[in-house]
Amino acid sequence: MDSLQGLTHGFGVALSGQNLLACFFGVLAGTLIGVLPGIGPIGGMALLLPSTFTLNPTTALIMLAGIFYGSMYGGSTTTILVNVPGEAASVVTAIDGYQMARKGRAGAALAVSAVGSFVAGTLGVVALMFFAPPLAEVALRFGPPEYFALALTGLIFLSRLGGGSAIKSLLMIVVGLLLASVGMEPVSGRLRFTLGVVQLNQGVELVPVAMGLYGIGEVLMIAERTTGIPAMIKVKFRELFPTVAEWKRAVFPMLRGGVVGFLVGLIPGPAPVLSTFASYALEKRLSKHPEEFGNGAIEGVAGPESANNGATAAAMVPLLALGIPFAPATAMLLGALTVHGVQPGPLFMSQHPGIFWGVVASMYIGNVILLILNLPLVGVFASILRLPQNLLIGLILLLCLVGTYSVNNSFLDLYVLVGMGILGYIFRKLRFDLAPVILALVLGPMIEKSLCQSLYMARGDFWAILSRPITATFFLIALAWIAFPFFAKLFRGGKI
Amino acid sequence: MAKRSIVLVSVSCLILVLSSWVPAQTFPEKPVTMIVNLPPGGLADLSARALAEHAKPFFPRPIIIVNRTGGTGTVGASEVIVAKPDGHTIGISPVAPMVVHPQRVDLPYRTLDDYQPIIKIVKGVLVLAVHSGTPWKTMNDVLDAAKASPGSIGVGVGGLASIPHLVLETLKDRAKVDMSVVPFGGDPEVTPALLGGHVKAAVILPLSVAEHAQAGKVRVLGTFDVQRHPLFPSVPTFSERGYDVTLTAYTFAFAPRGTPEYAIQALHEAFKKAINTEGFKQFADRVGLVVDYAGPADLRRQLESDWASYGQLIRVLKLK
Repeated sequence: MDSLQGLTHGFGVALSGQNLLACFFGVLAGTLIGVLPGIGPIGGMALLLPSTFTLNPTTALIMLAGIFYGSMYGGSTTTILVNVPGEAASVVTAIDGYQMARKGRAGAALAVSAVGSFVAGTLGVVALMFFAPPLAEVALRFGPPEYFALALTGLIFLSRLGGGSAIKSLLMIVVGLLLASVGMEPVSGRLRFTLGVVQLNQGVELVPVAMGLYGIGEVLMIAERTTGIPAMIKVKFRELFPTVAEWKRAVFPMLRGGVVGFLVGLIPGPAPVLSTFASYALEKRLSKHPEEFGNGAIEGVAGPESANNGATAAAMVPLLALGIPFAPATAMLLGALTVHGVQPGPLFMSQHPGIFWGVVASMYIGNVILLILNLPLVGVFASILRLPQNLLIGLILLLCLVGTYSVNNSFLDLYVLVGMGILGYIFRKLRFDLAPVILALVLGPMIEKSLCQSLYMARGDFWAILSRPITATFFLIALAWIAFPFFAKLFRGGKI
Repeated sequence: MAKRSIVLVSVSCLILVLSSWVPAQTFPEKPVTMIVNLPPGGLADLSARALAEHAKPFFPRPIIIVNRTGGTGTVGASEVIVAKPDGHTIGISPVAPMVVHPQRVDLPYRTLDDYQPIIKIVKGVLVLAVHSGTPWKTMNDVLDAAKASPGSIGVGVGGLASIPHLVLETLKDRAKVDMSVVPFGGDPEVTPALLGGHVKAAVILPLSVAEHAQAGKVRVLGTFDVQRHPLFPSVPTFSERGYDVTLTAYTFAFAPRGTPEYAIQALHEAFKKAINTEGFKQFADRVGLVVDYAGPADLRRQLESDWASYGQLIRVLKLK
């Protein structure tokens, strides 16, 4: 079926009363789940999954997908306002988004984030519609050796995000990798550093680490200097939205973020988190004022916030074109379809065009609804900052504790949260960059697992891994990246 | 004297009757929490949800599903093991976390006596699939190729010491061939690796490859069961070709040690009725599983025999 003809058919499906309602309900639930730190799209979808058993598969998928991409909209609200990243994909936004809020530009940051999400979300659906099958074929070219090269290169590239001392970034990577090595080893299932605590078999969760390092760490910093410090800058209503100059600076980062996010999103695993780091690094490199990054650069919000939505749309590609979930959230969507006896796969688009095009069309509609839902909320959320600081601190603590507990119902996670909070405070005092910890915690398991699998595949022959074309390209780029500063200095005649 | 003993006997009888009757009346006192040790959306989770859904008419209280994931199922299982043994907390798990992992790593449960089986629900039959770019058209083509150049065929499995891995090892032993194991994190990782040709073959659940087999991207060459799989009726089983490998990845319900017999019975009765409903059978068909009932005693016998055979494999393969 021709794409446009299919889409027309899809809109016919998606605009039926029941499906429109399902779409609205899904994105509304997604927005709420996104705004609340802790509980992510997977938890929300699991709650609603049994209720979709009685719906028809199209309606069920439209609603659950709405929760999935909807949750990426509000995801950074608490990050921007109070430095509490509710989802791992919002960690990068903490760098510049929170700084914008402290300068009284919280409204602008939230608005740019909502519009960026819309732009990237819509771009992503367009790409999904036209290129899903060929993109899925490309994704299959990536095996464990390619993932290994990609993840390692990513760690090298993205660890110097905040600038500053290379040694300090490296130390933070080590901290992250150490945390990542707790729990069951990903391939053999042996236990490491669990100290006999069964809950640690699952490893250290990302959410308590992110909330602890950022949220609790920030609370301790505020508490320290609270005497004689004025409350947050009051925001006037007409200043809630970005100025023309701010829009101009944000437009291209949004578009680039959408593209970067979509491409990174085709990788299995922690793609949304990676996409935000990649987009931030790209914007910083391209910016005419890189010194503003870290001090409230609007590009540092617009890019990553768009990227995670692009990644969400891309996650639908392997699901709909191959029937393979690359992330836990798409595994839920797959589960919802299988119980209806619909198994996505290479024949899905031709055998179930109603479901495929209906869902694609509903994603266009859902993104519009999300934009309409989220823009008015900007003012509501920004007004939270008018609270006196002592109340705000309590609110942040509450958000962190409840949010962390809601992920796994685990007390151990609360201890991790508090421990990480103290660590975050110490790191700030010593001017260490926190982002590499999160990056290493995300990439560590991926690097380890893909390396082990590659070695199993190659029966221990390292050269067989390095000589694969895609792998070799990645490693050459990484080598050049490391070597470049040395040669640049040599040519300038300076000392190394 | 005679009078006294009559009184004594009747009092003891009364006590006996009361003690066996009163508690049975009080179970379930509150909703039952069913802990699933694998993530939402997976086959174990979907089976648990379908079971709870279809048990509704036969069980007086709600059954609440909680996913406690991590550690390939051992975290959730441990949580059930240490729960109060009153029947109000039970677990649903595939066989590996309950039978294989306690023999490999240090867990709060070390033997089959640490939990009580309630009911076996479904079994996941495994198949051997190969990438369509390989020249192998039959089961014997693969085995001959493996014989001709030992270890050259990389076979993807869902994890080290996972049931697919142990099934593959059993096949290697029975067919006297050598193939290399490539462990992944479950079928969702094995399927793309097989489709991309990163592994030439895989031991995998039928549903994970059914669509791709239909599209001609992979070929399914053998089923590990006593009978052929409904999704692949033309594919022979390994046992009909003389290789006796019929281990299956079944899913069952269990309770902590010390759970009263009446609670086990009540749950067993309700679940047995649930899995016999048309709705549950339809669910199993759709997700490519086979309804496979066994009561507490039969299930216990199967667990014991599996415990021994998997334990031996773990020792021989040095997977500890």
